[in-house]
Amino acid sequence: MTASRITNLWSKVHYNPNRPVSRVVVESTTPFQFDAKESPSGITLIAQGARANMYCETIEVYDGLIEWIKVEEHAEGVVFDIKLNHPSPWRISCEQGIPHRTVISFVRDHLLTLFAKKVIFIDPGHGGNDPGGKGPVDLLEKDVTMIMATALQDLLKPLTDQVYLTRTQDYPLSQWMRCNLAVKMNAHIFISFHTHHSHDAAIQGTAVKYNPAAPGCASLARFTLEEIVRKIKRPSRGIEPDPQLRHLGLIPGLTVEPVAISNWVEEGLLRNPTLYRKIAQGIFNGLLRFWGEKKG
Amino acid sequence: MMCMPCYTIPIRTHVITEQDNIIELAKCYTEGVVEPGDIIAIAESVVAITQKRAILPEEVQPGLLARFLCRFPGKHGSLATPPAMELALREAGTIRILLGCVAAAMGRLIGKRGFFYLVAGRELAFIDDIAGTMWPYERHIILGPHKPGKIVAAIKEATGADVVIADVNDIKCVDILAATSPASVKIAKEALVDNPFGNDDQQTPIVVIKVKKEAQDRAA
Repeated sequence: MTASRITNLWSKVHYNPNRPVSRVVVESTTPFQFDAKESPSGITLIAQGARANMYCETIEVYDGLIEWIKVEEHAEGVVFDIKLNHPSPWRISCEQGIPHRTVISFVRDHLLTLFAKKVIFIDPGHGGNDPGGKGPVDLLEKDVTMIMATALQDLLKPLTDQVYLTRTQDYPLSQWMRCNLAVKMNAHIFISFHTHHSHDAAIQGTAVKYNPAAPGCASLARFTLEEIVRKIKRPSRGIEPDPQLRHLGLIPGLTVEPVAISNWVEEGLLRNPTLYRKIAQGIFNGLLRFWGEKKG
Repeated sequence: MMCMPCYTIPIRTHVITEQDNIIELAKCYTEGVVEPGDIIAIAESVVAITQKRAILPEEVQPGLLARFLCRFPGKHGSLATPPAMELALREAGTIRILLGCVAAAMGRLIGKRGFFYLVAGRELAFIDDIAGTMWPYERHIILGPHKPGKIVAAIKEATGADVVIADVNDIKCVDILAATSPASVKIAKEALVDNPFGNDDQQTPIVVIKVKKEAQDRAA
């Protein structure tokens, strides 16, 4: 009998109504016998007797539950080590077809608990007659911040129904009004999107500024910066206090500048829709670390 | 139009660089997966990368003409930055590019698009300006592959399967740059419409298309 060939592996968050799951999908030419066992940090799946046509490496996932998946080929078959950042119930199912799919689903219930009843304000920077920075080609900061804000809102919506945008259309708002909206609603967090803009087109990378008046906000900024950089692989420009966020009082607030729009390579990156999803996932992971640490 | 009954098997590879040989890669990654009658589809951008045609924008010094002309294509077009336009000028020559611009201007007057590439050269449409995808090439400009016809022939010789080099995007546009048979063009155009190569960091630039026998007969 010819060995099953493992051709591909991918992971995606699947939003079942009220119960999102992280799915790890192993694709192969034919079904294979498998053995799965729990380890302290995740699970290990062994595709017995299978051979890997796909490249064996550690695949970064960082979806808020799955950290990474290490794929190795051994004499007994192909081994998948799945590292989780939180214990989670899981199950394995198979989908017949070409390619055959072996699916490991991890329940993301702990995220529902962590985000439940959290009031989150997302602020797309600039707007209306205030376009913000302009890219060397022609992207406008007010437009890209709106896409960033919407991407984050889409990611958070399945976990909490209290996600608000400070503006949903193209109109100007003062900084005071933006912060005041969050204060009035007793927000748990305020995240403002901007891009860096400078006459020096060589400046590039990610920076996160924080509300100096909110306790622990520097940690939140550091986590968020680390997670965004990990997702979008841009250089870090560090964290710093943002005096404009003082209007928020004790509410933790961030001004996130994922890229510099004035750097035309980064303006080019802003044309790719995937970038926005990665930025949103980075912020999500930052919040997770912040609230997870507080809870712990 | 009748749909071809075929299946796509994307194969996850390592991050392909200019150190790799695309013929060896195709052979090694499809071994044991590809069978007689199958088609190997390869993403055009990785073929170009192995040919050292991924260029860092800072290595290009755009001239005045490139800086001027790059203002005209749509902002989501392939030639929207001065370095990409400069590379297009080097690939096609100044005269062809200028003639393409004239054709594009006339096309705009009558509300038709695509005249630029028709006149300046189809290969320019395969230039990927800073695309933000495929780390670590997300900040490179990737030119179209050089002599794709020769590459598909060499891969067919190495693997025995039909081969296509394709440019696919997420808006269901499939462009076949080269193929070892007319039937494989027809089949690949349908099979790749959902972009199994991915448009992010899926790392699946090689796809095996498995075709049912009756579809092959119909395509032939």
